[in-house]
Amino acid sequence: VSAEAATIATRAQAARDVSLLDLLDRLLQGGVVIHGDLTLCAADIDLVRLDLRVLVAAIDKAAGR
Amino acid sequence: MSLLLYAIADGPVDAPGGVEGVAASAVRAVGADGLVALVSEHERAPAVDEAALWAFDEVIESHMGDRAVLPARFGSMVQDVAALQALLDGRRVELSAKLERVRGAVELGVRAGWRDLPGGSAPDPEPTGTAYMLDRVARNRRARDLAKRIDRVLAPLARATHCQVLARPAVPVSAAYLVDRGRVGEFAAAVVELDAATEDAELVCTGPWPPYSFTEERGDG
Repeated sequence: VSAEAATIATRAQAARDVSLLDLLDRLLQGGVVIHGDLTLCAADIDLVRLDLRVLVAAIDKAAGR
Repeated sequence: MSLLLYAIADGPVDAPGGVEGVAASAVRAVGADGLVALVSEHERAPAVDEAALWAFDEVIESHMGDRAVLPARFGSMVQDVAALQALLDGRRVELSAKLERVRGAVELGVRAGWRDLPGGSAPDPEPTGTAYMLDRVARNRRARDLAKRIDRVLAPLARATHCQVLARPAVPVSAAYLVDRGRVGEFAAAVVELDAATEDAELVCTGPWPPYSFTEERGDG
């Protein structure tokens, strides 16, 4: 794998992580609440781990400059 | 058999099954008289994982190109078609008004991250209580200042804004903008320009999203 391809893959992963965080924020905090009880929840999604992944991706990106 | 609700939308929806729903379910439209709900049937609550979240979003996105959609909060399940129709009938005026508010617009996200640590120096590994509080106040002030700088440039390009400061420690500003479809390119270009002009933070623009952050009156700006 070339360095350029690896950089592109890292950026794609970083973009995906950022998008996933944005998606989580929107799905769990936004949207119209049509009735009181939400019978599904995303408690299984590890938000802390996601935060760390985004942070790591940002550090990798900064180090590549 | 209960129904997972994805969105309320302009009806009728002739062929809602183009994109699979959560857990590879079939999506269908329930409703009449110009107001429909996009739903899929499930014997039990589907598992929640990353794939489910993306599938939920993709169903809504597949419809936002040709009609106004009002995304539902993830996890909204309704007992059956009769209960759903009763909900649509009972809240028709309110839901129609909310659809009007987002018609012709999409949501764009702007997420900021510091280019370096606040203050430009490494944090004290064992701060005193006072130092910790002062650092926290400084971070908060700096994030609010960044949010104002971002909003000053981007708010004029949007119908409405919703901004969160320090929603997560590593994210000083996370903002959502309701932008007319015709101005998406202009908005994205403005974010790129603002990112280049902002020395202390980098800005990332995401979207277009369905208007998740603009289904309620909160956050108008």
